[in-house]
Order: sequence, then structure tokens, then C-alpha cells
Amino acid sequence: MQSNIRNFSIIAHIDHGKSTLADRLLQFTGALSEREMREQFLDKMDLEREKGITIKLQPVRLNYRAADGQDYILNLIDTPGHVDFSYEVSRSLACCEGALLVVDASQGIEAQTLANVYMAMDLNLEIVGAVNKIDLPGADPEKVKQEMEEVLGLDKNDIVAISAKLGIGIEEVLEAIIKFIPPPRGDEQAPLQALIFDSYFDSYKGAICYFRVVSGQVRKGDIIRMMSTGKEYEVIELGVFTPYMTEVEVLKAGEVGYLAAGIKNVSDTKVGDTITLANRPAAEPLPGYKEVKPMVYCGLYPLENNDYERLRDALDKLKLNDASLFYEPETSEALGFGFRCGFLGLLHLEIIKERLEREFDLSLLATAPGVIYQILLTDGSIIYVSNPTHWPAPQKIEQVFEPFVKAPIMVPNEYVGPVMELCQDKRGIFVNMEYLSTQRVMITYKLPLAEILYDFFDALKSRTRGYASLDYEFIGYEPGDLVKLDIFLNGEVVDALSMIVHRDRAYYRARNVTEKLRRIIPRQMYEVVIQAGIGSKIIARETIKAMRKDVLAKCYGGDVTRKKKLLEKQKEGKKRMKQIGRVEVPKDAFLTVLKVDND
Amino acid sequence: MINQQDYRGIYIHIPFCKAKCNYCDFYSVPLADGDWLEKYTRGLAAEIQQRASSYDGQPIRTVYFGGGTPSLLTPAQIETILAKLDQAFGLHSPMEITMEANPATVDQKYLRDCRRAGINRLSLGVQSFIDRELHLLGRLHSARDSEEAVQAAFAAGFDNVNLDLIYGIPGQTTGDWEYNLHRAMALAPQHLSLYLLQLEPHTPLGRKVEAGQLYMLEDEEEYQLYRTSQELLAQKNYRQYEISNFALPGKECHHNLLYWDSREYIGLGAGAVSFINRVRFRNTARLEQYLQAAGDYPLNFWQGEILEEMDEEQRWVDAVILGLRTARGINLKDFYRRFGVDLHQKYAEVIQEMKTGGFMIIRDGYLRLTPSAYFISNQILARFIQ
Repeated sequence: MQSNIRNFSIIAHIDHGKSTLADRLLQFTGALSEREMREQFLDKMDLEREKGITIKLQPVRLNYRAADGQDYILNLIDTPGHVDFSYEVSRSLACCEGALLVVDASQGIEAQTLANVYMAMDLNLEIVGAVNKIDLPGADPEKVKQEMEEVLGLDKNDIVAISAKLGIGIEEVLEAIIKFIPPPRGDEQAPLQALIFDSYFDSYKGAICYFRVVSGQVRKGDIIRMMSTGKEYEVIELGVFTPYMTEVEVLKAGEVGYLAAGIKNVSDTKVGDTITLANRPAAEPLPGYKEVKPMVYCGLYPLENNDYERLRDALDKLKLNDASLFYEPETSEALGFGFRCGFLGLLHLEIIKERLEREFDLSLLATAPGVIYQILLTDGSIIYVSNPTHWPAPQKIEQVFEPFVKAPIMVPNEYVGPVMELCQDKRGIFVNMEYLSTQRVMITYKLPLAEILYDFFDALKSRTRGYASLDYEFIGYEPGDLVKLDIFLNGEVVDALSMIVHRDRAYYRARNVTEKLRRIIPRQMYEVVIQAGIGSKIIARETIKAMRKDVLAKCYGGDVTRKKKLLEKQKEGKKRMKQIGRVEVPKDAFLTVLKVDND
Repeated sequence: MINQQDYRGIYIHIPFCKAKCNYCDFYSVPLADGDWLEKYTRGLAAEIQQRASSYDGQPIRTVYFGGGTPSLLTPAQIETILAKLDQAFGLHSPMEITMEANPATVDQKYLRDCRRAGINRLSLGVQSFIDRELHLLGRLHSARDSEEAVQAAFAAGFDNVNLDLIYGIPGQTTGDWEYNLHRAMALAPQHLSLYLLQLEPHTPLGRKVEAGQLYMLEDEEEYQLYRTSQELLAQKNYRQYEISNFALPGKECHHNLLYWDSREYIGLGAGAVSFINRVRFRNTARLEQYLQAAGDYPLNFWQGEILEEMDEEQRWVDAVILGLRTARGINLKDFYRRFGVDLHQKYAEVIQEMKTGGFMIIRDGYLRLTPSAYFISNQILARFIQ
């Protein structure tokens, strides 16, 4: 009975308590016993639990007997709360009829939350409001409800006040979901249309698709067809998330579940694709997702050259779960064979790199993150460059265009000055300023994306004591006076360290990077000269003096074993180094160099 | 000269000291009971008896009494030990028999008696000729004691005397170190061992540095002291034959050369390390095992722990990292004969890079470090570790 199904997701800013609330919902509906319960249950990856954030959405089906005495099936599709992952959010939202908006009772609405709520409203989702953390001393639920009414147009009388941590108001939340979110209204008798919103690779079962049945029904043993490729498979396993994967015989319109169909090829389960039945196909696929474009690029190289193939396999596998990941082979003189990878943002980059290292046991080296530039050449042609190595010679460049974003920043009004100063500093262009309430302001700037990649978050946090929140969306390319800054070690250019910078900042960046390298590169047997230059013009220089002492003065009969261990350890330490020319550079130098402390 | 045929050496550990020095983390205990030395000598004799029964008969060419403070032994005890060694292993001339001695514990008569007992090389733990430095190191003797001990050694008839000196002592200037070297050379010893002060964390000195009460010298300063030693000693005909060792021609210490030549040795006494039949092991450090009543030693009472059982590869890696410590270096043909490894070919790239950098040379069939590379030798040796 579709009238007893509710499909919803949770929208919340990081730290506003979304994962904790999800835990409470699982407990309250009895999906998990006390023994099975652990914190952030739906955050499957260790990484998520460590960082306390949600990266990967994880659906769950809750059974709930409501106050009206009826049994309901609630499908919760959790969403990430970080700006990098708005694409994942849109995927979850597309499978729901409503969204539960969770706002911290002391913080109020944040920029990212607002963006996600607008996204939900665009998809005609019903919004159920909840003010969380009402138990905290600084909580002001009434003020926040007022803000939600003014900014989002919710009725403040319908907003539930809760404390997920203490388990207050959980039942009210569930009742509100049933009351305000409409049930799905798909035609169970129509041809099958099921939207794939996620997939992952299982070494035994092949690709597993997570989907929402929009109309029709699918059974175990059915022959399904992927509408984008036309490829057909037999459904071997069909199930729901309780939150554990539990097999069922059939899934009908309105339901959420997974299937395995012996799909071997990673590229055959496209997120956003529509599944239909081979013997009774739907006429049209569902509207998919708009292709997401990577915003941030960097090179990923295996530290061991013979790990290149393993890295390719690992990227293939991650790509299956993560349509936004982009990669293509590239080579670097300094680093050998690797991949140029595109990401949604810096956090996304960091997560992918960590997952590759942890889950696939790879040692990787990441080059400086950058954006993709549009370059008008003197011959009138236009090229796109994301790798500084491919930057054309200055005389061939007519004009460079760089990606700009529109960034609304929400901040308590006493921080307006520092925030505007920072944006100005980062070549920002003021758009407008709006008062959300008497104390909170939304300042909107146009900013070069490259500047946001370059420690903008940290600077924003430190200037506003963590109170500011930021969202950004790509708005287009604008002309910029950009140059390529090269780094030289002992006179040889290190292609992997080249970067594109604004001409006015080149000198400062050059000094900053060379000094950082001086600190990060350990003394070697030879003197190391670090230089930074534009073209052939050197604008900064540092020297690392040759190592003076590394000796075991005494070595007699009893010392040999110890001595050998010492040398073995030393040798082991070299594995964390990349040999560039005659210079050994610590592998994390490449990322560290770019994480420049502001001022 | 001792011939270069296959031979082994014997190391005898005397783990007693009057007091522990501030920088020392070797195995030693304060000598609490005068009776201990007598008992320990009997323990050594028992170990010698047991160890010799399974010995393969390779000739012994060197004996080295180290410590601790071997000069706490009486000449009679030394004689007993050497007689036992001769009986059990066979000591055949020419033998180099070294004893380490603390300047505070020796006089001319004692040294003459030691010489009569068979000691023919003396290594004096002088460490410094500056009393302030001696105090800081926790040494019990003065600069004057050292001078008298050296003179006594010569008067007692020794013609092969080494002085140990330590450099890199907190507060030490180049001037201080030059002074030490001049005082040492003025006494005309045949051999000088110059050791960079190694900071061990669990020593009084280590704790003082940790607490910020004392400061170790900068690498650059230590390096300058090292260069000073190399220059000054060369002027007086002391040849550097190993990273920390200098000698008049023909007066190199054969026992130590045996280590760097990666040959095998028998370590006797509590905590002593042996390297026999490709196994490196350490005797028990439990002193009481050695201090039992006469005749009451169970079989293998001396046994302790195995440190390494070496395969062919580990053996030649040892030979590389030890051989490159010496000024002579590694004879590549010999090396091939011993281990079947062509180093020059196997490490062609490393050797070429090191040659280009001026850190290594190959001359007359020997691969060696250049003297200016000694002080960063770990960097080079690590490149030869598999």
C-alpha cells in the first residue's frame, strides 16, 4: 500500500546532528537492538565516523506503527552535509517526496542547508522542520523557528523541537513525517521505471544498484534492461535495507531497495539511469541527473611505479560509487605515470585519496589541487587546461579565463567586516548583502574558484570563530591575469609542483612555497637549491644546506645488529620520499606546499 | 704482523665498574663485593671450558678485555683467564691481547704485572684532558691521572697504547678539542680512538639534555671538531684507518679490524656478543649465573638470546656496512670470492652517484668512502641495505 509509505531524506548542516537523529530513528522504530547500535550507524565508512561527517548516503527502511494505529514503511535516505557533496544530496532528494530539515537550535540556518532546502523545494519536496539540540545551554528554539519561517516560509507552528542526543521529540518527528510528507503515487501496474541513485561493487555479486521504484514493479528472476545502454540482466537478488540488506521477492512503485544481477562491468550501472523490464519496457526513461562536472583537479601518482595498474583498478571501482569522480592517465617527468583526477571539491579529493590508500592499500602522491582554465590562444582557438604542465607559452596566450563561483556566506553580523575583507583579499566581487534576522547576515560574493581552493575555508573559519558558513556554485568563466609559476630543485623544474597563480600574488606565493619546501625537505647529502620562477625569471630562492652528520661513531662486535636496524629504518624512511633528480622529497610535500597558512 | 688468513678473535666482557659514567649505557654494574671478581673469573673459566668443547679449531689471533672496567681484575686473574684460553682454544703467537683500563685504577706496578700476565696492548679510557669535561661525563679520574697512567704504561714496557677520547661534549669549543688532541699527541700513544659523544636517553647526561639543562652541539659544530681531528692527527703521522680510529703505521688494532672485516668472534662473559657460524648471539646478562660457587656451573649457563641468524645475503650486507667503515675499504675481488657478489655491478648506480658526489672512490680494486664522507656515512650505507 503506497499510502503507508513515506520516502524522505534529512537535510542538515555538518554538526547539526543529522547522523545522531538517524541513529535515534533506527532505535525508536526498533530497526536495531541496543546491542547492534553504534554511533553514526548509517555512516558506513570508517572515514566518516572518524571525521564525523557523512560522505556516502546509506538508505534504510524503518517500520513504524503510528499514533493512528497504522503500520508505515519509512524509507530514509541519508544525505551528506558538506558543500562538496551537493550532487549526492540531489540524488537522494530525487528519490523522495519529502525532506526533514534539521537545524541546530543555537546556530540557526547555515548557507549549505539553505542551498539544499532550495534544491528540495525545486524538486517539489515537502519540507518538515525540526530544531535540534534544544538541550544545549545556548539553544533558542523559538528564534530559530522564527528564522525558518521567515527565510524558508515554513509554518513555525509545525516545526518540531527535539534533542536527538537525549532522544527528546523523536516520536513527534516520525508523526510529522507521516502527517506532512505525501505518500508516493506511482502506478504499480504501469511498466517498470526505477531510478538508480547509487551503486557499488561487490566482489562476489558484481555491481549492486540502489534504486527507487517510481512505477511498476520488479521481481527476483525478472529480466531487466538499463535504459541508457539497452543491456539486459536477470535479477539474482532483490532486497531492502533494514538497515542490513534483507532479501524480498518483489519491490513495487514507491519502494526503495537494491538489486544484484551479475553485472560485471563497472560502467554498466550508471547512477541516474532508469531500470525497466525487458519484456515490457517503459516508453521513456525518468529524468536522470544532470552530469556533474568536477571543479577541482589534481594529479594522483603511485609512489611505487608498478602500482599504476592497481591504481587504475581502484579508481574504476570508486568511480562506480561515485559518478562525480573523473580521471584520465597523465605522465609527469618528476613522478612518472599517474592520473589527472577531477573532484567536486577539496574534501572530496581528500576522501578519495584516503580511500584509495586505505581500502586499496596504495601509497599515493597528490599534486597541488587546481581548477580548469579556459585559454584563448593567439590563433583564435580555445583550450581547457587543468594541468599546469600543459599551460601554453606566454606569447601564445591571448586571454585566460578562470572559473568563478557565486558564494553566499552566512555569518553573525559582527563578522561582516572580517568576511568582506577576506573576500576582497581573495579577489572577490561583492554581489549583495541580506539580513536574515537582526543578528544574521547573508553576504554574497563572486569569487575565483581557485581562491576558494586555496585555504579559503580555514581563513573564513578563523576570522569568524567558526560561525560563518559557506556555499558556492559555479557561475561561469571570467578573464583573469594568470601566470604559471614553476618550482625548480637544483635547477631542474619539477613539473608536478608548477601552479597557476594570479600575477599580483605570484611573488608572495613563490616566497611562500619555496620557504615551505625548505622546511619540509630534509637535509640531504648535497646542498639543495629551491627556486620559483615565471618563465625563466627567478623570483624566489631558498637553500637547504648539505647534511653534516649522520654517523654511528662506535661500531664493534655487539653494535652490528643495532647498527643494521638503524640503517634499515633509514632505508624504510626513504620509502616515504620521492626521488626527484638527486633530491629526495617527502611525498606529502606536494599537498602541504599548497596548504599555505594565511598571512 | 698478524697474517690475513682466516682467524677469529675473543672478546671478554668484564661488566664491573667502580661507578657508572654519565653517558654510558653499556652493560655494567657497580662492583659491590670484592669477592665477585674472583667468582666471575671462575665463571669465565667455566664458560671457556664449555665453549671450547664444541669449537671448530679456527686459530685465535686476538683477545680483547673490554668492559665495564677490565682493569679491576688482578694480574693473577688475568693470567688465570689467559691460561684457560690457551689451554682450551690455543693461543699462538703472534697474538694481540688488549685490555681496556681506567686511568684511575692503574699504576706502573699493576701495569707491569698485567704485561707479564700476557697483555700486550693497552687501551686507556682517557676521554678528555679537561677536568670540567671529565666531571660532566662523570669520570672518576683527572686529566693528571690520565697523563700519569700513560707514562706508567710506557714505563711498564707497553709499546702499543691507545687513548680513547670523546668529542662533542656539551660546551666544547674547537679550541677545547684542539687542546685535548695536542695533550694526547704529546704523550705519543701509538693509537687514538676519537668517539663522538652519543646521547643515550636513559643516562644522567641524556636526562639533563632532555630537561634543557645541557645542550648538545649542533651537527655543524660536531662536524668541525671531526675535521679538526682528521687534520691535526694527519700532521703527526696518525693515519685514520676507520671512522673513529687513528694509528701510527702498523699499530692498527687487529681485534677491531676483525669486526670490520666481518669475521667471526667469540664473546665471553655476561652480556658479551658472539658471532659464530653465522649466528650472532648475546650471552646472558644475569651476572649471578657467573657468580656461583666453584665447579657448580650447569651446562650452557652462559646462554642468552640470539640476535641474528644470518643467511648469505645478510652476511654480505654486514660485510658492506662494516667494511666501508674502514679507510682501506672493501677489496672487491675478495668480496666476490667470499660472498659471490659483484658489488660493483650490483650497486653500479649507487656507486656511480656516490663517486660523482665525491663520497666514494674505487682504487686498486678497493671500494671505499672518502674521508670527507665518513661523517655522513649512514646516508651512504643505507643505500646498500636491501
